Amino acid sequence: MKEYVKYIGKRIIAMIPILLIVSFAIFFLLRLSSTDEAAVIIGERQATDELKARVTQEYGLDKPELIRYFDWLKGVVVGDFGKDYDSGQDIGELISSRIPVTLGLVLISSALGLTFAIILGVISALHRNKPLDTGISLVMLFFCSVPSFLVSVLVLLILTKFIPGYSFIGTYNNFGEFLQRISVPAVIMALNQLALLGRVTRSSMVSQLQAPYIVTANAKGLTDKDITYKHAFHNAVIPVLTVAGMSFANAIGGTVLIEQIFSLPGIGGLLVSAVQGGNYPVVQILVMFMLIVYLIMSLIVDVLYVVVDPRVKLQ
Amino acid sequence: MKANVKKRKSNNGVFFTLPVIVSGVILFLILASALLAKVIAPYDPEATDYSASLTRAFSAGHLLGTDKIGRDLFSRLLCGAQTSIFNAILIVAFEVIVGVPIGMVCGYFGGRLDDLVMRVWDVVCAIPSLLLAFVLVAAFGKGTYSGVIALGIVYTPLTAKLARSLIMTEKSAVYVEACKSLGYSHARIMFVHILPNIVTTMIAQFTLDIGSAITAMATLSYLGLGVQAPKADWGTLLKDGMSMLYLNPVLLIAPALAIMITAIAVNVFSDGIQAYIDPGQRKMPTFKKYRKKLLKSETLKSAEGAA
Repeated sequence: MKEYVKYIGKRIIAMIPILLIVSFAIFFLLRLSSTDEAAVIIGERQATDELKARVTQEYGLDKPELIRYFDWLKGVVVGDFGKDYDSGQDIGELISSRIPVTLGLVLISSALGLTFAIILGVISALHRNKPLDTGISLVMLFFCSVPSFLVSVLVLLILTKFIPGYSFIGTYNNFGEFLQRISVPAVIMALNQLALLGRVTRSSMVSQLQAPYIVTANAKGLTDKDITYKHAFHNAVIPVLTVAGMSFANAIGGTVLIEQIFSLPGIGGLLVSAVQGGNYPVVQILVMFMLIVYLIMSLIVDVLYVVVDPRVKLQ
Repeated sequence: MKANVKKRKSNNGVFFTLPVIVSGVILFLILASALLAKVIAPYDPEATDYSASLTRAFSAGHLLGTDKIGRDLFSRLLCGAQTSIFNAILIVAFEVIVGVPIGMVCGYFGGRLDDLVMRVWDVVCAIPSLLLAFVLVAAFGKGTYSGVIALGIVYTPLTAKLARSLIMTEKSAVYVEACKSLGYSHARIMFVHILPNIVTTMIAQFTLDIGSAITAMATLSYLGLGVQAPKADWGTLLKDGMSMLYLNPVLLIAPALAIMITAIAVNVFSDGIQAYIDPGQRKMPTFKKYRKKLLKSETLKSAEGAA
């Protein structure tokens, strides 16, 4: 247990340089564009010279870029995320109420997707080339090639047509309503991950079941259950975890879309409108937040490697 | 004997398996209708006709109906196909033109340059691809071309990595050594001699990329970051259809199906190419056919021997 804590601590420290480099890159990439930030802040108000000067002063737009970056970084470290250009609201306040939806979607869909992918993939591999396998594989091929936002558009269409009471607009007040709102989109996102990971599970399980050590295990008279779950499965699940890390990245990007389609009050909609409007402080914070979520999820995957495969050592 | 040599060629396996034929035909139809969009389309895709707004599908004059301001959906879908596919090809062209040379140079020379580029790639790959595309679009400003460039940049590291790993296995081959001893320049060895040997493997990846580029660009357009109105691609059509969800669902279903069918067809087609390239997966003639062929050549040989 102690070595796990040590390993995780080490990995978290190793994240810091990545976050610094990426934040630096994003900050300057955004400043490359020709967008006039003062104009974005002023927005619909009448742009008098006086107002422009005041805004420039207030947001420190006239300082050199490098100093602005370090000011911003200092603020982020102490928990001051800066002000939204649109409303002048504190960004920390703005996003804190929206985080549960996004995090819920990503975590629930990833957990569901990974679990069912492994179950269905193993079932499919055990029934190789039988009708059950063909059926599962076809469904997986479908969900693998069709992007999840299209599936959700079609599901939405069906839900609004055939379930008259289904409403996808509005906010949630308690945990029950929260789950009700995000269940459908979470399942759709899970289906996409399930398809990708299930295909990997199936092919890796099939190749493990044909390996010579399975013949040996059979010859030694082990039960089918032991062979499948103790021997083949442990080896087969490793490539699945590798791909799972990638599919989590897709999930984090995908949540932006799904939130838009189901009009969920998550950070995705905020990100899209911020990108459209040149609202750079919000873009910076949201991208960094999503990146941190992604890095933590890939850390979890790396820890899972050790849990699943005793040959892999923590270093 | 000549006939015998010819026959051996067909032992390479079958490229035109059933899935490849079906998906190939579908892709051909989509490509052809996209190319001839202006000819086939019954209406101008941007012409509005308020008297015929929100016409139902399959009504006279409008095959798929019309949208809120009376634009013919079928014509818009065709011209949208043109934009979508053209943009996807641009994205893949970008990744090929930028990614392949970088990957090849890194893999061929190795050393410090390779280390540096791969470090940069690792950082780029640490950001989820759609997020990276958002940041790039925010930096370049929204629009068709910044969307294309953003997605091109997102795909480039993966292409470069593929090219790099392929060239690293190839560069120790004997023919490369022969070229070197002949005194050919590095550029000539890389692009004239090695490239033709690795291009087949890359083509499978590029067809797959065209499929995912179509959906990725549609995603950006759907979010209002890619193609801007009044120009239409499948993504903007989806976005428009979304707001007409209750009034005329065909506006939503038609572009969704168009993207779906294209994506599946591209995936299946690319699977076919991959299966053909990889000898382990290649569909070989059945044993029956083999035996027939074998028997035939045996009899031929014996006949020749007798003569």
